[in-house]
Amino acid sequence: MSARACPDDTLVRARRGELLPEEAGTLEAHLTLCASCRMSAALGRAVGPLPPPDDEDEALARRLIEHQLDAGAPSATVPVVPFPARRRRSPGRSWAVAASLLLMASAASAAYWTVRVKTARRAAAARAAWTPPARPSRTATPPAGATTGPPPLPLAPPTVPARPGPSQSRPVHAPARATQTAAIDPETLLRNANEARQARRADEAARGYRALQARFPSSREAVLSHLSLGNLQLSQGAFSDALAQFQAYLRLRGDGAELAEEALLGEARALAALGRPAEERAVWQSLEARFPRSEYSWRARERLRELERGAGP
Amino acid sequence: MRHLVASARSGDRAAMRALLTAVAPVVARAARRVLGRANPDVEDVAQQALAAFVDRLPTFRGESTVKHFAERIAVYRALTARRDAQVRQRHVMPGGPVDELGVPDIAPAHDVALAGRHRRELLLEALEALSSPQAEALALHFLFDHTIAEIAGMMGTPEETVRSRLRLGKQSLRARILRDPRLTPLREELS
Repeated sequence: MSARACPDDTLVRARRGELLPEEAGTLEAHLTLCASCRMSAALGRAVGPLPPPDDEDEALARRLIEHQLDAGAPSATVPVVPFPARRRRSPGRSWAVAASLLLMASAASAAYWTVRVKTARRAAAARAAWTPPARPSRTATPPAGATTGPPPLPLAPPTVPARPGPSQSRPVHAPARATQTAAIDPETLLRNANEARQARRADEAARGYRALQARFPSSREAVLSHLSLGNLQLSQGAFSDALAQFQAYLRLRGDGAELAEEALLGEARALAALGRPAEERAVWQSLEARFPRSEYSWRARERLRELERGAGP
Repeated sequence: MRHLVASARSGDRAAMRALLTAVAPVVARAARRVLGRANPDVEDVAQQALAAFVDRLPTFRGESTVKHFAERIAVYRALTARRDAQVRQRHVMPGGPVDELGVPDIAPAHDVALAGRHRRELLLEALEALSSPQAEALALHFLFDHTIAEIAGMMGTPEETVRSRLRLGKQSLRARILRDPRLTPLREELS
């Protein structure tokens, strides 16, 4: 065993405890000659053995499974769309989903909105917004089999009473438009959707963002929600929908707007996942050119190099 | 396991559940191993990795085991999340506390287990300076004890390419460890 034929796999098997005694002797001899393998052995010692999955791994795994299955099946009573039909089939590059992007967008959004003073009236309106049933049912009686838990966000401008109270127990009719506006405002809708997202109620959050965009399309909150919804959809693998959201944000706010870098980053990642490298390259180049001091310019350069090499997942 | 993949691809929900049950612990362990057990991003990253596994299942060609396929996705995701966190640390909060980004505390170790985590964290920090393919190959090799053949199957590259990435990665890693005073404990380990 010469230094030119380093026994990398023998070192791995030694860490796994699979080495035969005679192999161990040969390895020891090689280590006296090969600095590279001594470094490998030292690195192996430094990181320690790979533990088998423990109870915490198992608990996390159970949550992951439920979340993953729930993501494709909003309700146990709803027929499940076959897996290939609800997932992108093309072998595009879907590696660049934005864990950190979601975090950053959330932080930026939260920082922006939390500085605004919330009046007591708006707080009351927010509570009222959560009290009515979300379904377009004419009664407030929960459907049979309904489960307890946080109420879903309204899918459309809801039919809500002016204030919570006994009226919830009687049929709810469409109130005057002025009442709706008082009860549901863009800020409330955005806050509710953000809270749903932070609580990992992704479907509810998505419905909230869409309701905001439909109800108040020109509001600042609705424009911002394109970024939030895009990030959410990106993390769920709905890349085409995410792409549309990021592009809508840029179209409505312009490339020089706040959070435009995040929108461009999201757009590039969605295009990467969709396997559209030419368009992806153009977006990365745009991001690097327009925001050379951005924290994402490093990422843009790295990805552009990967695209030039035609490598990377 | 392969028959589960085929069934899951054809829309069999039970097969998909069985498949996820098999690979989710591997994904969870990979995310926690790379990010650190106490990192608050672990669950998000693991979730994204599992979603990516489902998403990429149609592209699975059987060059590795299904668990290795899922593990590689999780490792890549977790390494990317670490890089992103470091970028934010440098550009958004220069000089800010590292643990705000979920990176485990790297204060002096007090016992063997903590020392092990400390060295592992330093190694992962050193990996962040390498190219993605090199860092990924080194992580799969040293953190997850995969052989070159296994890594080649997981990454879909020839074994010689993996060997080259490991060799070049170790060279870069060694140079970085030798010049970065924060990595002194690793230097002592290597000496």
